[in-house]
Amino acid sequence: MRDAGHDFFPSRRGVAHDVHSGLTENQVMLRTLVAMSIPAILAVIAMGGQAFFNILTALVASLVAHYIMKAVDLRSFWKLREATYESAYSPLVAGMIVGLCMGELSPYYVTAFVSALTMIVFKWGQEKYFGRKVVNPAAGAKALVLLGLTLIWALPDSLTTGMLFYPEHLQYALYTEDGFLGAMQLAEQMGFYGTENLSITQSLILWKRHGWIGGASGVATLGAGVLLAYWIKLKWRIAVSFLVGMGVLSVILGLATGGHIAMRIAFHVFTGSVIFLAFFMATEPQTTPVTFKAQYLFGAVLALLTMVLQLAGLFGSSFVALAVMNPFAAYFDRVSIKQPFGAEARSFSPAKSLPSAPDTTSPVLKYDPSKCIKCSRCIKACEEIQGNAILGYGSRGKNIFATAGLGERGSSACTGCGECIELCPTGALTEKHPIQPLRDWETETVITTCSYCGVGCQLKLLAREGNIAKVRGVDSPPNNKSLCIRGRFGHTYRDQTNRLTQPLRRREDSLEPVTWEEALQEIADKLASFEPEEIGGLSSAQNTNEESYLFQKFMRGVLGTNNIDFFSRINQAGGEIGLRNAVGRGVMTNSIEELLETDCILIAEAEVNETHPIVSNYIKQAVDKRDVRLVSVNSHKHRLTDWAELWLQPDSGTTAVWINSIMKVIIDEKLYDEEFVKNEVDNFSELKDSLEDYTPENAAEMTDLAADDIREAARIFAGADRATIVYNSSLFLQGNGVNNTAALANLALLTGNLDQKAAGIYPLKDQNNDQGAQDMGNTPDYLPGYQPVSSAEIRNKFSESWNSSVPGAEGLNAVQMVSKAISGDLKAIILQGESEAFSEPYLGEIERALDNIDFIVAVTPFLNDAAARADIVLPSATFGEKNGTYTNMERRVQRVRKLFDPPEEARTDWKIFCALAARMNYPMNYDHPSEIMSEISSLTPIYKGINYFSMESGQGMQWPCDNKQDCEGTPYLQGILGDKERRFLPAEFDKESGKLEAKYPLTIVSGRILYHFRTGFTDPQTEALQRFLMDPYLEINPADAEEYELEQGGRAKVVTPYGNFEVEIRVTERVKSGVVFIPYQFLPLHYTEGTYQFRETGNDEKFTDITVPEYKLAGCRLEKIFND
Amino acid sequence: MDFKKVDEIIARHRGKAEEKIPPLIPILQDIQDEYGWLPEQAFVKTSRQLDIPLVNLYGVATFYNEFRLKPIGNYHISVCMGTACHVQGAPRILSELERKLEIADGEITPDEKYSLETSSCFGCCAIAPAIMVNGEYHGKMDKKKVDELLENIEQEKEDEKVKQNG
Repeated sequence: MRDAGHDFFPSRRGVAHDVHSGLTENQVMLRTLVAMSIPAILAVIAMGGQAFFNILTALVASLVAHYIMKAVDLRSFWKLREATYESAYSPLVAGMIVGLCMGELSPYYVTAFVSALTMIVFKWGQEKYFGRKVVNPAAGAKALVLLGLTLIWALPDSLTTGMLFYPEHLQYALYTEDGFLGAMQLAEQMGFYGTENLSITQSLILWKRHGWIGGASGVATLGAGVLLAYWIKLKWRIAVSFLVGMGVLSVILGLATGGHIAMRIAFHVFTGSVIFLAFFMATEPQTTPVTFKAQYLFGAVLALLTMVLQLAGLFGSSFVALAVMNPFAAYFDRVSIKQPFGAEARSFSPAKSLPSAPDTTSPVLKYDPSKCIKCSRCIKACEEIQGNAILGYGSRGKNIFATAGLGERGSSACTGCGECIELCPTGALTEKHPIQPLRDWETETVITTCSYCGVGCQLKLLAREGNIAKVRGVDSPPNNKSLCIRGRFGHTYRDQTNRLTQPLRRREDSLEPVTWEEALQEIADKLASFEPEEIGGLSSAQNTNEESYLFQKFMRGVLGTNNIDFFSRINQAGGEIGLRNAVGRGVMTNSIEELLETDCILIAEAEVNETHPIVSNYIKQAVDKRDVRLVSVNSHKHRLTDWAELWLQPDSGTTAVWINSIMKVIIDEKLYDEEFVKNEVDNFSELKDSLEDYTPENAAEMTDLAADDIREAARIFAGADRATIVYNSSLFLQGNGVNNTAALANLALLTGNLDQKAAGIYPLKDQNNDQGAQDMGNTPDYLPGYQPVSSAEIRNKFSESWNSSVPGAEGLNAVQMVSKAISGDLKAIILQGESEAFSEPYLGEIERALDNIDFIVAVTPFLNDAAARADIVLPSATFGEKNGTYTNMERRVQRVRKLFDPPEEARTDWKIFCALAARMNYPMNYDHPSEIMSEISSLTPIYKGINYFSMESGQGMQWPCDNKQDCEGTPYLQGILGDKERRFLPAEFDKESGKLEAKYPLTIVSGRILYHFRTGFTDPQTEALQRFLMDPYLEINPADAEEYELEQGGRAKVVTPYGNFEVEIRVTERVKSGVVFIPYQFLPLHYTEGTYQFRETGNDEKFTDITVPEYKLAGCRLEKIFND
Repeated sequence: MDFKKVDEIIARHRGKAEEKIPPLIPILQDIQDEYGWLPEQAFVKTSRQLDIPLVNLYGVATFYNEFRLKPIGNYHISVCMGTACHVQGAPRILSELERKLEIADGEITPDEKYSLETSSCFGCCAIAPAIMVNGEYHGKMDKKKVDELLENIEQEKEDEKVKQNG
């Protein structure tokens, strides 16, 4: 029920639409009438009968006009059905206004005329014609009458007419002091002011009879106005702004013309028309602005106009000013809001909320619909090249626009690859990150190889003034113009803040700048003081081949030790060992592009779309265009899984079981390649025996798969002419990891999917030059080209060429170096390259090892955690600052080119090691990386035909290139590498390795995500990737979430045996119950208590030469964190 | 908001459809009937269940004027702007409604009671100018009848309130 007490004048119309006043129109009118009665009564007291009758005339005239209009049926004439206000309050108010703003001496017929004019023309007429009031009716009518009066201006000087209405005829100009005072005195003489006791000023404010009836008492009018403002909540902002404006202008005028400020204010502000109009006319709802800001502005402009007209000597100047300004009220509204009522925010209709504004929601790109020609290239690129199908059109007709998800790219599933930018012909889609928009021809460009994953995409850097402006794909293998977000937007890390620019040396607790001379000399002296076996060297997979080669030459040839490894080898070694008996090396047997031609693809535990987006594009295209049969076995569901014909979700850690079971089915159903097995592979019977227990039924029990699914997978895989197996480090970064890859190798051998085009094994390498670092012998057991250090013949070859002696004993690998350092047997270490030592497993151990080592040299572009502990830090070059070659995971050696100089004193690694070797009395004379590559070719059979300059224009070359000078590379391997024989190596499932502590109810499965790379070391500095993802999260199955009372977006503490950390919860069906997924890179970075590390397990007896840490699985418990 | 209804709607259409993929537009129509508009979660669910990219659903929903991506008021008023209604004064009806409700075409009042929309033609030119309130036609409108209509709505609401309060 409405508040009856408030409703003192109940209305027929129950609607209260006016939110400002909460009153009906009639109530407003009545209150206005009551308020106006105050000045009216005072006017009658001051001026007597004539004023009274004038008001009465006006009231009666407007009422009569109102009823005449109601009575006369004009509807049929104009075909309009509307009637103006039903009740009499509105005409009464109009009449009152007219009455009060007429002259005291005005003839009654003029008053009646103005009143009728107000009602018929301005009130009724306006509504009829425009649908609403445009000009305030009373002001309009008055202004019209005043227009008539202005004709008097033309009359000659005459006391009765011209002088009265036009002071200039009396030579009183109000904008001068004399004119103003003269006019005031004339008015006094004419008896316009109140009693004799009042001064002119007081009289103007309090009591006067200067002509306007409504202006008898300025103060009374003001009071009535304030009362009304309180009563009906009129637009008081206009009144205040107007009156203050008039006051300020009066003061300025007073000061400018000399004194009389008070009198000026009294005259300009309190003359009848101004004070009256401020409240009763200028605040009329329909003809004035709506927004507050516009109301203030409107009042101020009104004041200015009024003042100008007053000074020009016009009577009733404020009416004229208001009538002039009313039609422009809407324009004032535009000042503060473009669309009155906030259309955008509250619109519900899609047609009304079209984003004609650019879509800037994506972290990496902008879309400007006004430049879009709707060519659909972006949409096709997204669907057919990247296989994401995120883009499409919204709306229809002329409003059509390209968009993603539910109307904006930011909240859609867009991965930020930027393929659409590449193909946009008009620049509607552009990168977000450049410092300024640059045309391609305004930039310096170079074609180089991406520094992220092992695909080794060819990309074109466009730079200006030392900053990367944009990145484009190059139309050549392996990527054929496509890139992912990391390649296109991720290379800004070279500009990061912890970039080193000069050599540093430790002085007590801090690192201080030194000269290169001092730094190199100190390193040379110190290293000479240790025994060779006390020195270790760790390089990085971000090195070029030339740098890697030179580093191992320095370690072996100059320092005389085989203690050499590279940071990420541990992520590859498991694959290396497992493939030894099938391929010979842990390398990809075929080219990436051949995925398009194969018949079946088996993805084994690889999150390909996250780690190697370009490979995943090829897989999607193969499925879409050639109906390649895709079998995906993943315990964590990925986007690529959607493309699979068959998706198996085994329990994590049971990889070897399902692979063995598939083989069991293939053998039992005689689907294997008998000829290949008979001719090429040894040990078949041993394999057959070992698979006895792995019937699909048994396997189903162990892996939580359906037995029929396993059979189906086996039939699909074995039934294909050419089948391909794709996996990445996720497969072997487990306790049982080496067995897993060995089992996959067996599967490939069993089905004969080797030695041919488009059939083989694809181990995906994590880092850009993982392959190259291994090829270049950055390993304790091999010299470049996988030539074993144990062979005296090989050692002699190198010793002769290097003019030095290569040590024969195998060195320490990274894990062994850590333990030797802790035991004190390793005393000095050289950390070379961009990688972070703290990316290794066993964080706590590494910390202890580094603390225990006497002398640490770090050669790195960035001051990372390990470098911060070094004794000497040498600044080196990073991406875009060096020439050389990378070898990608398909064995393709590709050029890396330089676009920038290293900052300040930083140098490229090969120059640093040349200088260091020279200090240790072993001159290395290279002028250019090409000379190093020549040396590599001469010593390394697999790189024999590779020539630095012949790659200049081409697509790179895939090793092996043995024995041929004009070699064109080897897209797919034929026969086993090295001098081994092919044999099956039965890979048992180690039941114990997958078992986790019983007190932890959930299993963490770690995995990689697109927006993180390596350990996330470069990512925090890479703005584009950071915008996508910074906070650690955990994915959990809805059933588990319910059990642990976790909600989407909530937080939880993860308790593991190795340390605890906090994560955000994401509830998803991508993981099965009992398993949680955490991105690998978040694990070590965000622990809160204790030290985080995974278990060391999986030293299978058969593979004693490798230590594979358990990166993948851990038990955990979740504790909900409550927000306070 | 409870989105179980979306699953039910899709299941119902799946049962009916002879083809493999159930028809999209009838599903969206049913969802809109259920909720009055198309909430984001309903899109996500439909997209997942029908295996259609989200953006394609958005494309369909924005192509047809019938679908709404934002909620409408309890009283959804559409004003016919067809030729017949236009010459009979529809713009003034719209202007009156905009003035009374203090919202523009395509908006919803802050209290979510009313929403206002224009339509190209209702197909009932004989009673022009016409408006529609929650699917109910009101013909031969003028300012007075607009006032009465709004008055009735307010009255209706009050009556309901009284009923609820006992």
